[in-house]
Amino acid sequence: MPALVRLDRVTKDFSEGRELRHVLKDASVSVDEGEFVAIRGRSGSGKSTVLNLVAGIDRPTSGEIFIGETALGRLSPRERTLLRRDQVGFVFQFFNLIPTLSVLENVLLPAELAGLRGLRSRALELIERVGLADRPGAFPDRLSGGEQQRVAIARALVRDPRLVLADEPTGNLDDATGASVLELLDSVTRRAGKTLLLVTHSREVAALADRELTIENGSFV
Amino acid sequence: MIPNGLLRAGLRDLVRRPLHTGLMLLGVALGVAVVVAIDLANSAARRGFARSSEAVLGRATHQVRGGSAGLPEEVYRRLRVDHGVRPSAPVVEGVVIARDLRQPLRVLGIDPLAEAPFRGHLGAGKLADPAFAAFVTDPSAVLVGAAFAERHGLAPGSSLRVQAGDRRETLRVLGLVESANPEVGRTLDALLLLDVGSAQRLLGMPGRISHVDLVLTDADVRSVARWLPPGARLVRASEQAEAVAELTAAFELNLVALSLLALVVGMFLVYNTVLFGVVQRRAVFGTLRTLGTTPGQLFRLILAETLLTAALGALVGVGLGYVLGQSAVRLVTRTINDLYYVVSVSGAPLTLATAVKGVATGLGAALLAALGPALEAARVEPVTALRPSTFETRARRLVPWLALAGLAVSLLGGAGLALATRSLLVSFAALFGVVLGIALVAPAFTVGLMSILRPAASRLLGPIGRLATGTVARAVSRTGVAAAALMVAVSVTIGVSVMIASFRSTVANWLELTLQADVYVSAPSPGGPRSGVSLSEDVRGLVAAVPGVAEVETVRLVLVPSPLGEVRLTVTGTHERSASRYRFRDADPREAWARVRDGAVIVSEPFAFRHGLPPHGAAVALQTDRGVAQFPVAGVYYDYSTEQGTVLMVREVYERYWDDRALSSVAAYVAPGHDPGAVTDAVRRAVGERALQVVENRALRRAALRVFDRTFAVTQALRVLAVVVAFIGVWSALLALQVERTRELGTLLALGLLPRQLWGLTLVETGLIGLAAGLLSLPTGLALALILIEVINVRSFGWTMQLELPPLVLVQALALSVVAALLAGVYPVLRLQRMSVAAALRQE
Repeated sequence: MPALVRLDRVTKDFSEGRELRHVLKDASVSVDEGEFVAIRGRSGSGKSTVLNLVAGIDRPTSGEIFIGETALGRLSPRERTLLRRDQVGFVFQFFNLIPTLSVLENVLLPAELAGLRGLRSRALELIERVGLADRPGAFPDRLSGGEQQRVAIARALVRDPRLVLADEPTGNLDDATGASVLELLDSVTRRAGKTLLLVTHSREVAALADRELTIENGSFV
Repeated sequence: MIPNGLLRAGLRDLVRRPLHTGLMLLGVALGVAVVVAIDLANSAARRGFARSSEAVLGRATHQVRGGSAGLPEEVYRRLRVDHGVRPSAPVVEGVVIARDLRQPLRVLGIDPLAEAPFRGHLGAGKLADPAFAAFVTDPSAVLVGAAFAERHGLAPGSSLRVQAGDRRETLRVLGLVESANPEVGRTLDALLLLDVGSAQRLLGMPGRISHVDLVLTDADVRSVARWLPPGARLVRASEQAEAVAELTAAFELNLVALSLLALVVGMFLVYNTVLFGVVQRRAVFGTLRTLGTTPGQLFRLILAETLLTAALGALVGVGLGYVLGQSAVRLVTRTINDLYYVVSVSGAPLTLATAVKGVATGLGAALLAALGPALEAARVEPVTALRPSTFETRARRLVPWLALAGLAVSLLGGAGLALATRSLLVSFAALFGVVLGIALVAPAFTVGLMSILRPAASRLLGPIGRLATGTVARAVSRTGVAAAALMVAVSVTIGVSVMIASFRSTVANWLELTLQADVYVSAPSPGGPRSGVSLSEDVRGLVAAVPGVAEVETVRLVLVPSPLGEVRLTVTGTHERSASRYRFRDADPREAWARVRDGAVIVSEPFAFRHGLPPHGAAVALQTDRGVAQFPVAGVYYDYSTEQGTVLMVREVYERYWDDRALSSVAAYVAPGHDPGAVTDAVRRAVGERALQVVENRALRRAALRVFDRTFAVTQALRVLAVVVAFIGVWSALLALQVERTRELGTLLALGLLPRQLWGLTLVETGLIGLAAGLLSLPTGLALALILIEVINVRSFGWTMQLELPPLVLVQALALSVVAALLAGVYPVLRLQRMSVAAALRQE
């Protein structure tokens, strides 16, 4: 199976006042197409940074990141945005739904931003699959945390991306809701043959993955 | 009380959010600055007038005054010699123009031998050199205040070229009057002291004096009044000054009201920034509530933070107001000199009273603006703090109620305007009520407009249109307030512009009707008829003899005493052409004019309003040289020359009652076939060396409109300031909104929003807020214009104006709203673009 995501000797530093904090140091890893990989690590270890770098919304201090054959570092910001739009789906810890849009509008948003039409039935199908068939017109503030995260999962999949990035998707949910959301995420991504890169604290969550990576001292172990 | 820890947390928060603290500070500072600047200008003009009155009045308790041409000297001699009324002193007063200094100077002619009991401060000054005798014997000798002399480089022996009426004269500075007391020194500013005989010669008042100053006990008053000849009357010395000071009361109140409007717009800014601070710290407040902080403590904390920031803002505002005040005082003084009386103001020193007034107004306004957000902070429950949408949900629920309350406040304001009161304070309060009421409707209007626009915006702009309309409607607590602030400022622009345009066009039409002669000859007269400037006797004949002049008409403008106070009297000829110049409000012109020829008067609209004359059967009592006489009123005519109002009579009647034969101006009609320009030049040559203004009809109209435009310069400046404050308000509201939405926008960027789409989204949002404000400002601005024209203006000045609605004003207002809002959106986008998406996503 070819690698979909590849980090090649990636270093990422953050400046904290006059100090430099090295979050990633020469970190290298690759994730195959269709693989479900969990990334674990302590708070501040750089888990979310890896996701941001892979999504192209943050840039490494050095090293290179590849999505398929494409090196992100060689892309302009606009090209990175277009690549993200076409190939990456996002699920955030705090759901990050747009409060002024309904469930259906939130799910359709990535497609509409790309100027794509005719995805309404797909969006409704995804909403049904995440168990919210009766609430496409509801606004986020009327939904529970679990329901919001289900919408976020549907949104992540609407453009049929090759890669889904999930940053602590259950971190803001109770155990039972978290488990059901995770199950949903796993099933819909696996069923669709997507690559899922998931950041979590939890061993139980990580245990569901095909592979578990841990970040320690800026490297994958 | 606020626990120390809580207070410390609040204060550190102010320091940690310098942008928002700065914006609140700016809102208060700008509002206070405008209030302080106008107060400084008004009080400097008032003080300037009080000082010059003080210099003239001295310690006199009463004055004997005459008619328009003063009193015969004989009255003074009889009082002093025959009746032994002492202390008493003759005074000759007037105004000349210092040609080199280009400013009006008051002339005070005194008898040095009788002066000591009155203007002791003048006597205390010492004549350094030359001999005292020269003051009495040299007709060109004048004394000036030492500070004034120093400012203008005058010294004993210097020449001072002045223009008195239509004559040019050169005076000689005999000495300087010094005073150790700076207050007394200031009363001598722009004042020329002459011997009474020299002043009579300078002002063209041979054998006459302006008044006799007296120090009387109550018992003396009755006996002196008995001895006075007809045409002379005894008045309290302060009466004159009080009457003159009252002239500008409405003008000053209008300025104060406009300055308060800037403060109101500043309040929106404070509200926005305080609310932003509260919304941003919801989670912190939730934690504090969990830890045992009471709602009351949170409420007080917000007020304390506001108070501290507002206090700093108010201090900055006082400083800024002082700087602005120096410009405002020039504009205000110029208008007072153009329209009311001569006043010399050398600057606008900051007084403690003005500073305290500014700080207190700023703090009060800021606290009032912070009340809502402080209540919101007090309502935070630990559990709801975790739900960011709670506040907006509550705000949205409040919107219809706010709109209802707004309608009620507007209706109350409307009722206040309909009240049959002449109180300007009530009228302005009602006007504020109407505007504030509509401002409260602004959030509901914004939400409603977004629901209407949403389908079209979605079709046209796709997700950007849907997101933008949704955000504007959902974040109504800030977008609604931004729209309200912008709406208030823009509607003020519309209201004031339409009012000024209507006024200007009414005045232009009136000038067209009134100024029918081709050439006008007059002497420059600072302060209007108050300066008593008149033409030399031969001017009429000189003008009439110019080839090409078909007819000559004369006008006399005088101030005459009356039981109603000082009355401006216009004396004109009986020619048919004179009659056709006046448009009557409710009388048949022919009939009215026939009665005027028989001895009646006509009065201007402001005069009838000011004195509450009944529509029929009114009469005006005037103090003539033959005693008090009653003149029936034949009609009320439209006149925009002065807000004090004018009584008009024909020369034959005037000469029957007054001894004054002087002229204020001469108007000439050019015979058919002659070029008015050439005739004007010929008239100029004919009056020769005299310092007369000879102007063509068109030039006079232009000059009158220039004075008009100068009068509204302050209003225009205040209007611009209100828009600037509103712009900053909208900018801060949008910035706050974008800061709040950083994570949301970060999410959009993460989901594939391109930079140009981010620009599009933000600009569509801000443009929509501008559109909402602009659309609502159109009816509000027109309502404001109507209120200004039909109520405020009538109650301030008594003028009727024809509404003039330049369509461009409305288009400009809409464009101003949208452009201001679009500009306000630029920085928030730039700020977001500088931030990485990852950082935006991390934002709380």
